[in-house]
Amino acid sequence: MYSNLEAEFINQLEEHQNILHKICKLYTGDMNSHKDLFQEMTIQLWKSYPSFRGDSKFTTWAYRVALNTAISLYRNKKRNVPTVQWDNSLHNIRYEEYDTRQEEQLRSLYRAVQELNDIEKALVYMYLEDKDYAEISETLGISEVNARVKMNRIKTKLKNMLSTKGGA
Amino acid sequence: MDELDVLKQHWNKDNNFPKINREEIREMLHKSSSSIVKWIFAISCLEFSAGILLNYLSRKYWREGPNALWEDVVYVFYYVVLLIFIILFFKKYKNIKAEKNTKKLTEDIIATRKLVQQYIYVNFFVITVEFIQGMWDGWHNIADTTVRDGAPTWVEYSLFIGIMLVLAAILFSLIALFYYLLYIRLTKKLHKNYKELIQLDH
Repeated sequence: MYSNLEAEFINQLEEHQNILHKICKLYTGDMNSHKDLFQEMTIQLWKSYPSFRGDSKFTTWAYRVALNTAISLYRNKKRNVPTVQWDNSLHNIRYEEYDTRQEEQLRSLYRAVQELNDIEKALVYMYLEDKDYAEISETLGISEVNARVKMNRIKTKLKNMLSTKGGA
Repeated sequence: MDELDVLKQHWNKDNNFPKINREEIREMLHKSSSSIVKWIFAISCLEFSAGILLNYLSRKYWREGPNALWEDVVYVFYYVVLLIFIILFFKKYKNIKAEKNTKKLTEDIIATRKLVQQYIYVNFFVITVEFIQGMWDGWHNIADTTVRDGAPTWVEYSLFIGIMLVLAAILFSLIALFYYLLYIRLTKKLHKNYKELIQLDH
């Protein structure tokens, strides 16, 4: 039997689970690690849920807790191993509407992002999710100016990584 | 259009993830966390227990005869310090909240661990005092002419000092290895991320 709070939490998480999946996609390289991180995020979200007062949207609160779990709480020595199992079912990238060249470019981009460090991945995640720099700085606890500077450096770093590998 | 904008176009359309159903989520809620914080908590509790046990055993079995006044003072001091450490530890542990900003959360975890590290230094201090006391007793025992013939030779003194130093080196190396395996490896990633965040703001 679910408690009201538990049922409410499960409903919210079921609806917005892709937030967690997307973070897992950036921070893990294989299906087992993905599942493991997803579970740890779920546990941390549930532990923190009683203090969620609805001041922000569930999605905003959830991605912050989930990102913090990936960066500071999750412990898996395998998580930064290069993605040899990249083509498994979970991380398989489908680009039906992209041509072969674009498809290869996207694969190279995902691989390059996987090589970034945890903080850089967090910045990339928030950029991809269209978060503004005020929110990025608040989430990470750094100044807005520095978040912006770092983001530009990441873009340059990715460009260099891809040109070195002749990817994109 | 830069690389990340190309990625963003795909990112927003990407819904190619396994669907976790309500029952699976419910099961996850009741599973045990394996987070760094949980490990730190478990290790810290073991460290507190080991400290208490070592101190107790040292007084009960390793010392001979009545304790000197200074030893009683060290004993009381040790438990007062231990109590302060335990109270501070639980306060800091409760303060770790995943909804804080990343920098603050990382700082809080590191601060909690550092507190237990300081407790370890206090233990090292107590062990060193005990060790010096043991050496002092041993030195007097070999020089005790009531239980042996004549004064000890310089070879015996050198041998005694040599053995004590080797024992100390082995003991401290084992403790250092234990901490490397247990603590440094556990928090290496945390320190790396914290350093990155600090560098970002300077």
